Amino acid sequence: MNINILIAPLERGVNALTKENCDGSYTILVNNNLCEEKAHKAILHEVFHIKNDDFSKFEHVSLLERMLHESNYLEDELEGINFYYHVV
Amino acid sequence: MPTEQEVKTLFSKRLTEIMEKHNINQVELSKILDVSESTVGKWLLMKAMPRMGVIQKLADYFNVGKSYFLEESLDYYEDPEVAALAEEARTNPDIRILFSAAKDISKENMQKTIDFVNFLKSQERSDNDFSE
Repeated sequence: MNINILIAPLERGVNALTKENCDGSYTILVNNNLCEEKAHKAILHEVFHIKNDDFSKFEHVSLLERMLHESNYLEDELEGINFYYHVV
Repeated sequence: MPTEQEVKTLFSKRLTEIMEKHNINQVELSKILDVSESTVGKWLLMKAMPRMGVIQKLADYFNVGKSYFLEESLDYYEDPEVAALAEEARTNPDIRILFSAAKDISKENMQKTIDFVNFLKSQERSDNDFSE
């Protein structure tokens, strides 16, 4: 899986977001105000959204977010993903 | 404070939902947790509650927080209007965004972020038009 990561000026309170592209790929935007550790955590959060197929779930996003925030992020899940970094 | 019966009812409801979601039956769950099948049956029939250690085992197995089994409200976003906007951003085919955001994020900041993504998309489109 290939994921483009854009370091961008996002609003306060937004650490990162995932945008589903027309071709089925994903772009993750990460707030350029975050330190490296928080940025890494935010990217992991977004990768889990993608891997969990949260765009297609029938549950409300507020529940999906709650469950994801309470789950354990496993670094192994990043294996096999190619990240391409860009700066806006 | 919820009554004991309300806690049992909520736990049973959430356990039933997550077992269905993961396609796990009563027998399989009893083996996973190393408890008897009748014990799981009592939980599902709202006749008993597991100990906290077992709820933690369940939470770990299904990779959810303990609160999933114990708390009525499972909303992440504090402001219902923000939650509605986030859901619109996720499901609207013209937007399709999921966030890693603070639970107390303002509606205004979430809307500004959506506008920013839409701006980037319009830039992409005009770049593509230009290259064609």
